[in-house]
Amino acid sequence: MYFITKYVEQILDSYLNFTVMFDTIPIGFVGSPGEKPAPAKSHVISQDALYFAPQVDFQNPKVRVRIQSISPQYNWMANNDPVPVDTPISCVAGFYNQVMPYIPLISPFFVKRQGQFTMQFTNDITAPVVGGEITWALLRLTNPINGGWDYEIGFNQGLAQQSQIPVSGQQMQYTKNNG
Amino acid sequence: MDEGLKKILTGNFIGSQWNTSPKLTPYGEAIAAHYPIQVPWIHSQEVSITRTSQQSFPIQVYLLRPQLYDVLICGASILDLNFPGAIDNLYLNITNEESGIPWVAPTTEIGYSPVGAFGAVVASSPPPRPVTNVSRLPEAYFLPRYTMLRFEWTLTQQQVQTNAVFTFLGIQLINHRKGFEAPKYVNMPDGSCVKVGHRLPLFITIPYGDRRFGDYFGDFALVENQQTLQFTPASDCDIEIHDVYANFLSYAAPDSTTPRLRFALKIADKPTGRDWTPGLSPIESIAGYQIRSNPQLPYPAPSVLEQDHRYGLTLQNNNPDNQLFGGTLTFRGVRRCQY
Repeated sequence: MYFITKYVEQILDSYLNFTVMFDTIPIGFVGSPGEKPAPAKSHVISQDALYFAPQVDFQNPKVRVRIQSISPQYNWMANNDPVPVDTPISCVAGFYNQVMPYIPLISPFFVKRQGQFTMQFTNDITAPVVGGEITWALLRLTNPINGGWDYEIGFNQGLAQQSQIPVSGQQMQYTKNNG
Repeated sequence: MDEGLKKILTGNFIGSQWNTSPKLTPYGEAIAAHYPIQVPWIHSQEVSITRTSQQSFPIQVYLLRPQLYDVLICGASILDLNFPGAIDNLYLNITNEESGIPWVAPTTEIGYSPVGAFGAVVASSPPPRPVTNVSRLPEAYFLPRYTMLRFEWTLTQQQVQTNAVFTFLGIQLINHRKGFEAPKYVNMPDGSCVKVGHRLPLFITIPYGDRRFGDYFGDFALVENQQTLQFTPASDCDIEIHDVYANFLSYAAPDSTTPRLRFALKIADKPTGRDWTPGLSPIESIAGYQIRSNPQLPYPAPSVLEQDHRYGLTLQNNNPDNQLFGGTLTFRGVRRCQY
């Protein structure tokens, strides 16, 4: 079900161990058509984590969502039109009663310890959902080696080894950040 | 190499369906390996298009604005906001504004592909429970930062209004290293070094029937108990065909007045004269459609259609008293050109 890319392998190699975890976050719909409740936030975890796939406990694909990580700030949703279009939840999360109740991310998302991401939901207009929960399947990464993985590994590596910019057909080899 | 026996060296491709795992293709992963930060990328756009009686087919253009980071587009999902069946008349072509290379092969008949060939369709009514919400593209598409994609939407059949939300799913590829430039070449598992852009998603849409009156786009029909022959366009380079999508099967019940199994198909590689099947096969055994776990039914392995070769498609309607209107078959694959 889950596909471990080389990128994820390199992150996992930065830790001696990991723990499977499920993070359930209430959305807080009161059932009003088109409502935008306060953004749901992933729970703060004291270890680094890899988020693999979400699931919602309702079955309405017309609920919309916009996701953004807080630290560091990256927008997942790329529509930057004058009137931004949020993403139907069916494109991101599995429904609880589907054959496959999780939709894995193409590339699992790495969150540093104490990091968070927010999910701004918008309720359906015609058949609004009441309540609602989203659950993320993730790995909590424990016992980091040399500080574990960091977003800035590429940046720091680049400062030190600018001569190693990949050339034709050559893939970048990640090295550990000892800082 | 013996003509007609051309093989794909293993390792350069994977199956074309998302199903329970969004595997990156070897080509996509080779590109992604150059970037230490990878963030989900999801882009949704609303589509609302109308075609009135006798109106020539409308074209609605949407430009995906430049992105801050390089993006690898891997899959698509469509939220259908219409009554069941309408979405199969919504057609799309995608072009990179910079290169001008369209994803859909230009043909004299259509030049667009049904939206269901691009991704999985999730119906909004009745409450959906699709097996898969997202379909993988035949190949990951590398969208360099600061470039744009042009979407051209159209309707083949007359409808009051067709509404949908089209969503691309991918990865933002981020490398803050000073002086970093996007890779121009990557290594494939078979050891070859290919140019980024060498493998592009390709969609070839062929009408299931013949043009009736020739007065508007999409006016194709295959009348009852008739057979016709159609050809895919020849390509200027080798292409891989991975899977097939049919736009006319999704909502026709097997026991209705237009039984699906009464449509039949035979494929032959024309320059070689090699038939895929000795006789006609039921359409459902060759092509997928919405509400299937594989909406675009994959072949056991991708098939190479050599440069300048064409598929000859023998299409047959075995229904004794029902015509088929507006049916199309879409072959999905990879264009292997070194532009």
